[in-house]
Amino acid sequence: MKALYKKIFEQTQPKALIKKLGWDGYQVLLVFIAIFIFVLMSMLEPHTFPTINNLTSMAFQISELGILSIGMALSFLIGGVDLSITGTANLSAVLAGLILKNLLPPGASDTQVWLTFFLAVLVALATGLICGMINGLLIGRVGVPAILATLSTLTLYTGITVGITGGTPVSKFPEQVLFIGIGKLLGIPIPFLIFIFVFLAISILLNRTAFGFKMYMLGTNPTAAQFSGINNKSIILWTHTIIGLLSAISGIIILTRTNAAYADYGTSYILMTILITVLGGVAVTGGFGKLSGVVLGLIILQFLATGFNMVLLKVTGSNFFRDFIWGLLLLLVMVINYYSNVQKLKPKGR
Amino acid sequence: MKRILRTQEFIIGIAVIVLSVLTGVVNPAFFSIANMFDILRNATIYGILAMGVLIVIISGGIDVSFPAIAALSTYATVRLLINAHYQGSVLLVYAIAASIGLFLGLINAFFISWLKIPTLIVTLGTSSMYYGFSLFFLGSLAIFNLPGQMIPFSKMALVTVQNPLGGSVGLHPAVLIMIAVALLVWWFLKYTMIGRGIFAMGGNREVAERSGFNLRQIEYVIYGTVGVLSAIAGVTLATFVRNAQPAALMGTELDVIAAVVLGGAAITGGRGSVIGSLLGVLFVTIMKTSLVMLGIPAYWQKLFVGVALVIGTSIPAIRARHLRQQMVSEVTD
Repeated sequence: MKALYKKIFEQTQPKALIKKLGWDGYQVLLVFIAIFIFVLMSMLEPHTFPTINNLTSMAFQISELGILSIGMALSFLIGGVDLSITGTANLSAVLAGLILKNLLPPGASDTQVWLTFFLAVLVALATGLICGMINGLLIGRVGVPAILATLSTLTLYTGITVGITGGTPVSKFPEQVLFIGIGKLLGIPIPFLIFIFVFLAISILLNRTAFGFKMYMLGTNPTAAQFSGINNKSIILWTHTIIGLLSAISGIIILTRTNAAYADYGTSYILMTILITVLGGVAVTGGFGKLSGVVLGLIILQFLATGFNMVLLKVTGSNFFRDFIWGLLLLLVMVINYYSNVQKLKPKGR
Repeated sequence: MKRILRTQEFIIGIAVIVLSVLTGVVNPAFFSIANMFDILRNATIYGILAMGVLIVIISGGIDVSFPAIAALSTYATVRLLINAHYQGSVLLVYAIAASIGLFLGLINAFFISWLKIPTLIVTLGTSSMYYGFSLFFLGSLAIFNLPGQMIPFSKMALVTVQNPLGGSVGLHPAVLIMIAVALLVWWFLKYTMIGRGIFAMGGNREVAERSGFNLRQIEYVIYGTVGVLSAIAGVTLATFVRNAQPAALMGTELDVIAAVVLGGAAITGGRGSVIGSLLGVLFVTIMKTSLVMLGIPAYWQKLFVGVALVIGTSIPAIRARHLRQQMVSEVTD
C-alpha cells in the first residue's frame, strides 16, 4: 500500500509527469504561456473570462477546430500537408444534412429521428473516408505533391458541395439531433467529449502502435523508411483516410452545433489549424511533434480568441483584428522555432 | 515534333480548342467577337496574377498571399489618393499601388529567405495579416468614388463592336497591360541571369547555390515581382468593376494556381512557361463562360475546375513516374 502511495506521489510530481508524457522544454513553455494568457485575460475581464459559463462556451468552440487540427497535425507528421480538411468536413456535413432534411417525414418520432441521424452519421463518415482515400491515393500512388493534391481536392470537394446545394446552406434540422452539438453530459459539452475521445484514440495510434511509429519514420525520412521495409504508399493512404474521417466527425459537430451546413463554412480554419499545429511544436518538415503540444496550442489560441473578442470588440467593434493577429502570430512562432532550432543545432560545449 | 506533342502546354492548348469548339457547336454565340472580348477581359486579371504565380512556382515555392497583396495595395492607394483629392492620370495610381505591392512582397521575401520554412506557411500567415490589416485599419466598405482618371479609364476601349444581343462591347486597353506583363516575364525568365537562376533554384536549390546563384537575392526579386504584379492586377480589377474593396479577389488564389499548374508548371519547381500559364488562364476562363453557355448552372463551376485540376495534376505525376521507371529499367538492362 505504501509502495502504491509512493508510486502515485512520484508520478504526480511535475518532473516525473513531464518525463512520463515525454515532453521537452517546449511543451512546458506552452503550459506556462497558456496559464499566463489565462491570468492576463482574467485580470482584464474579471467578470466574464474566468467563469464556468465562458469555459463551457470555449469548450464548445474548441472541439471542431481541435479535431481538424489533429488531422492537420497528422498530415504534417508524415511530411505533407492537408489543405482539403474543411472541404471534406463541409461535404460530409452537407450530405448528412440532406439526409436529415429529406428522409424524415414531418412530425417524425424520436426513434425515427435518431435512426435517420445514425444513417446520416454513417454517410458523413463514409464521405470522409472516401475523400481521405482519394487524397491518399493521389499523394501516395499517383505521386502528386501533397500541397497540390489537397489543393486540387479542396476545390473538387468544395465544388461538389456548392453543386449539390446550389450554393445555399442546408439548415433547420430536427431539434433532437442538435443535442449532439449543443448538449451537455454531466456539465461537459458533448462535442468536447468527442474531441477528447478523438485525441485519446489518435494518441494511442501515434504512441502505442507500429503504424504510428511508421508514420514518424516516414515523416523523418521517406527514403530511409522505404529501405527499412515500410510501405510508404500504404502509410500515406491510411493516414489521409484517418484525416478524412476526422474531418467528417468535425463536419457532424459543425452541423449539429450551428444547425446548418454549407460550402464556405470555416474558410479561415486552414490558417487556424496550421497555426495551432505549428504552435504546438509539430515540425513543418515532418516527423517530429506531439499531439499534446497540438492541444496546448489549441487552448492558447482559444484563450486568445475569446480574450480578443471580449477586450477588443468593446473598443473597436471590428473583428478583423484577429485575422491580422493570427497571421502575425504564425510568423512569430516560426521565428521562435527558427531560433530554438539554431540553438539545438549548435555543437555543445563550445 | 514529338517532343512538342508531349508537352503539357500542347495538351492544355488542345483542351482550350476542344472546349471552345464544343461550346461553339452547342451555342454559336460563343464565337461572336463580343464574347471573345468578354473572355479576354475576364482573362486579364487572372493573366496578370498568373505571371507572378508562375515565377513563384518555377522557383519551387507557392504563394497564396497575392490576392491579399492586390486587395491591400489597391485599397490603400485608393484611400490615400481620395484623401489627397487626386485628379490626375491613372499612371500614378498604378505607381503607388505597385510600390505598396513591392513592399508587401518584400516582407514575404524577408521571412522566406530568413526562416527557410515552406513558403506556403509564410504566405498563409502574411495573407491573413494583409487582409486583416486592410479590413481593420483601413475600413471594410467598398469605395465607389474612385480617384483621378480611373472612372474615365474604365470606359476606354481599343475597339468597339456591336453586340448582336444589343449594345456595344469594347476591348479594354488593360488587355495590353496583360500582354506587356507576359512579354516582360517571358523575357525576364529566358534572357536574364536571375531568370535562369529561378529555374535553377526550382530544379535543385543546392546545385543552384553551388553554381554561384545568390538565392537570397533571387528570392527577393521573385516575391517583390509578385507583389508588383498583384498590385497591377488589383488596380486593373478596381477599374473594371469601378470600385475598390478591401477583400477583393479573396479566394481566387486557388483558381490562379490551378490555371498555372494546368499550364504545365511543376509545383516541385524548375518547370513552367509563360505561354502554358496563359493557356491555363484561358482554359479556366473559357470553362466558366462555357458552362453558362451550355446551360449548366454557375454553381457547378467549381466542381469542373476541381476535376480539371485533379486530372491536370495527376498527368505530370504519372508521366514523371513512368519516366523514372524507364530510367531504372534502362539502368538495370
